[in-house]
Amino acid sequence: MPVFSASASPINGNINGLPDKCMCVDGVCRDPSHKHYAESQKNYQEQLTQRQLAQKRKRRLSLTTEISSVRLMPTTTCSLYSGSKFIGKQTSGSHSYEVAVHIQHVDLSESFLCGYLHIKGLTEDYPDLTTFFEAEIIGRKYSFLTKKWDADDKIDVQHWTKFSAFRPLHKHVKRDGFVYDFNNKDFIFMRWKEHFLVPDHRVRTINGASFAGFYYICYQLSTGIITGFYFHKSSERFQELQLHHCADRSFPSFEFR
Amino acid sequence: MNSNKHTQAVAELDSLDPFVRVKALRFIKNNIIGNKTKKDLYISLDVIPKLVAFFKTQEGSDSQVQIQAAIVLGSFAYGGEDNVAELVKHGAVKPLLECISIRNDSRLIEAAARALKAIYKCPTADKNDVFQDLHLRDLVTLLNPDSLNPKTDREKIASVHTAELAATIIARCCDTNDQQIQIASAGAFPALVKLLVCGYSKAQEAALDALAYLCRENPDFGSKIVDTKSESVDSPVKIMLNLIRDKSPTMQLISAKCLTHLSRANAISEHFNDITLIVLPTLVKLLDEKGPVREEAPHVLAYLIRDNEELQKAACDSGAVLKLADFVTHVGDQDNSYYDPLGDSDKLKENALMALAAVSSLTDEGRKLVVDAKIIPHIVKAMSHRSYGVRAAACQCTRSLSRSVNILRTNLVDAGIATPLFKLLSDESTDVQTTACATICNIVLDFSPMKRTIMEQGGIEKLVELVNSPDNTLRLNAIWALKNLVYHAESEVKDSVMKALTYQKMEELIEDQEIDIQEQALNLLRNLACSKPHDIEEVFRGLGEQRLMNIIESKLCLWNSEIIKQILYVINNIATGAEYHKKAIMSRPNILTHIKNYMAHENPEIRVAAVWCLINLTWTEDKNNSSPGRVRELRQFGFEDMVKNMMNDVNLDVREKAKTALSQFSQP
Repeated sequence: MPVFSASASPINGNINGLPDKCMCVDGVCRDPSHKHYAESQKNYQEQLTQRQLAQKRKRRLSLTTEISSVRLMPTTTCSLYSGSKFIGKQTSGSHSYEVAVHIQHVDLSESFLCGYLHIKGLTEDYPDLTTFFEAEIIGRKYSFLTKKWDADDKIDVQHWTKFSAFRPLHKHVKRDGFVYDFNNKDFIFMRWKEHFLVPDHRVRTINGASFAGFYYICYQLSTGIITGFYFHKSSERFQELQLHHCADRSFPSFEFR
Repeated sequence: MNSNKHTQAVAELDSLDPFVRVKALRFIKNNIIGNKTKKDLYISLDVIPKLVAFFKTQEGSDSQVQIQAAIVLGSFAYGGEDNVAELVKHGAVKPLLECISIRNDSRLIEAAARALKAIYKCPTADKNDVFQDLHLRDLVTLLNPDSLNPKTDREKIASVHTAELAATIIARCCDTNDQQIQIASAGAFPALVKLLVCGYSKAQEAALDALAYLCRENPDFGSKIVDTKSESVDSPVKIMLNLIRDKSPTMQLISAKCLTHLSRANAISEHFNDITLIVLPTLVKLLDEKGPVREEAPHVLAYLIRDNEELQKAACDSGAVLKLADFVTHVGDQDNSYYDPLGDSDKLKENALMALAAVSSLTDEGRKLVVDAKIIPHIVKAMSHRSYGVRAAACQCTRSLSRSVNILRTNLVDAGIATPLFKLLSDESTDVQTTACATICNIVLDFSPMKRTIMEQGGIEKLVELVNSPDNTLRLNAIWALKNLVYHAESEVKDSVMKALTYQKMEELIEDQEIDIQEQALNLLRNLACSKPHDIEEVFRGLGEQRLMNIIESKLCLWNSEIIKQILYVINNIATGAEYHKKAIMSRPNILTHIKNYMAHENPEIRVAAVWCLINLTWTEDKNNSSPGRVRELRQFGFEDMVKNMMNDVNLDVREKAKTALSQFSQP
C-alpha cells in the first residue's frame, strides 16, 4: 500500500479540504484542524521565504566560509542509529565471552556505520577490551564478495551461507552487477572490521588476542538481533557473535558540521 | 632639486593653456608609469583632486587633457589598494564612469575603462556607482567592438581592447545576486557570448570571466547563458569546450572556471561527462603551471567538486591530492621566491588547503588520501599563519577530516589540533572564527577525545559568547556546537552549558530570524530533555511548563520538516519522563492533534517520530499505572485507528513502530 493520502494533514499543503468555520480570536487561529490556521501558517512561511530570499540577494557570494552546503543528516533505520547499544556474547568453542556493541555513528547513505566493541575476559592483561570498528554495509557501495582481508570468494560463501537469510541470495552473488538494496529490507548484511583499541589507539599488540580479522554480520530489523561470524586466516573458524538490541525510548541527536 | 620639476608639473596643471596642461600631464605620466615611488610622490603633491577637476568643467573641456588625465589616474590605480583608496576618496570614480559613454572620444573611453578596471580589481572598492545612471548600459554597449565604429586596423584593435576592459569591469562587479540581476537586465549575455568568438584571446578570456561571475550560484542565469543564441553555429557551452582546449593555460583556466560555475548552477547537467573527463582533468593539470594560473586552479577545483561525491572521487583518482599536499607542505612561509618568484604563496597555500578540504568533505576515501599525504602537522602550523585566508582554510580542512570518527580518535588527537583550533575561536577575522567554530562542532562530539580538552579550556563559555554574535553563520555554528556538546552528555555538562547560556537565551534562539538557528536550538532542547527524568525536570524548571509547552505548540506549526522532526523528538523525550511531564503534553489538545496529523506526513522519518511520541505516551511501566487513563484519552482522540492504518505503511521502520504502538493499546 502506498503512503497515506496527503489530505489527511494540513501540513502537506491541502488546505481546501479543511473545515471553513473556526473560532478565531483577534484574527488569530490556533486550532491546527481548521482552514484559517493552515492558511495563516502558509502565508507566514511564504513571507519568511521571501524575506530570506531578499537577504540572500544582498549577501556576498564567497567561498571562504563554506566548503559544503550539503547537510550530513543522520540516516538510520530501526535499531541502527547513533548511540544504539547491543549486548550478547561471542562463543569460541566451549568458551563464551560477554560482548557489548555501542554504535557511534550511522550513515546509511554512505553504507557506513562505526562503533565500539567491548569484550570481557578475553585476556588477563585486558579483562575489559574495547576496540573501534567500522562497518561496510552490503549494498550499492560494498558487495558480498570481500576481495581483501585474506577472504576469498569461497570463504565469503562459507560464512554468508551460515545466515539463513542469505541463502536465497546465494545464487545471485557472483552475477555481474548484482546489488543488494538494503532499503526497506528486514535483513542488513555487513562486514565489521576492528581498527584500534579504545581509549588508547597507539597500542598495537595485545597478548593472547588479536583483532586482525573481521566479522561477517547479519542484522534483522524486526527483531533487533545481530548475528556474526569472525574470520581470520589463523584463528579458530566460525566464532559466533550473538547480540540483541537494548531498547531506548528517548533519542538525542547530533550532526557533523 | 629634481623634485622641483615635479612640483612645477603639478603647478602647470592649473595653466589656462590646454597645451601646457597636456604637456605637464604627459610628463607626469611618463614619470609614474611602473614607478611606485613616483606615484607616491605625486599623490603626496595632491595631484589627484586636480586631475579629477578636469572632468568637471562643462565648457571648454579639452578631450586631450581628459585622455591624458584618465591615463594618469589609471596609472595610480595600478599602484595598489592604497592608491585606489586615494582615488575613491577624491571622487575619481564617478567622472571616470561618465567618460565611458559612447558619445565620447574612443581614446578617452579606453583610458577611463582601463582606470576603472584597475580600481575594481581592488576587492574593497565600492561597486555601487557602476549601477547608477546609464553606466551599465554604456558598459554593455562597449562589449560590442563595432559600436565604436572602428575604421583603421589600429582602431579595430583598440575597440576590441575596450570591449575586453568592459567585460573585465563587469566580471568584477558581480559580488551579489542583485548586481548579477542588474547586469543581466542591461543585456550583457548576448554581447558577452558574441565576444566569446571574436578571435582575440584576451577579449575572449574577459568574456568568459564575466559570464562565469554572472552565473555564480545562480541557476536561472546559468540556463540563460546556456540558451543564449549567437551568430556562431556552436552553442555557448560548445564554444567554451573548444576554448578549454586552447594552448594558453590562462584560457584553459578561465574556460574551466566558466564551465565550473555553469555546472554548479545546474545549468549543464547533460554535460556531466565533459565535466568529469575534460574540466576536472584540465584543472588538475593546471596545478603543474606557475604563477597566477596555478594559484587559482585549486580554488576553481574546490568549487567544482564541493557538494558532489562523484567529482570528489574523480579528483581523488586524478592524483590531485598529492600535488595539493605538496603545495601545503613545501610552499615556504618566509621564502616566497623558492617555489615561484612570480606567485603569491599565501594564496596558493590557502587555495590548496581549500581544495583538500573539498576533496575530503564527503567521503572517507578522500579523507584517507589526505591523511596518508601526511599533511596534518602542516595544517596545524597553518592555523597560526599570518594570512587569515590560510588560517580559515586550515580550519576547513580539519573540519572535513573531523567528519570521521576514526580520524577524530587517531590522527587529529596525535597532531594536537584541539588547542590551536580553539584559539582561532578568538581570531580577529570573523571568517576564521566562523570556520573554526564549524570545526569545533565535530571536535566536541561524544566520541571525540578532544571534547575534554576544549571544555577544560573554557569552551562552553567561549561558544556561549559566540552564540551572541550578530553574524548569522557564526551564531549558527556556535549553537550547533553547543547542541553537539550536550549530545549524550552527563547531567553536569548539561548544567554548565545552561548556566552559561541561560534558558532565556535558548528561547531567543528558538525564535531567531534564521530558521536554521531555530532548528539547532530546538535540537539542543531535545538533547537537554533526554535520557533521565532528572534532565527533563531541569528543562521544566528552567523554562517553566507553560513556556515549554507554548514553544512546542507554536513550533509544531512550522512548515519545515527539520523543525518538525526536532520538536517531535522534544515531545518524545519529555514523554519518557515522570507522570506530570507526560501530563503536560496530554493537557494540550493542539499538540496531540499535531502529533496525529504528522502520523500521515509524507516524510517517513516524521511518521516514525510521531509514532514514537505515541509509544511513550502510552508506555506502561510506571508504578502508579496511570497509563490506562492516557490510553483511553488517546484512543478517543483517534490515535488507535491512525496506528492501525499505519500497519500497512510502505516504510518498514514505520510499520515496526506502529506494531509496538498498537500493542500498547491492546494492553488490558
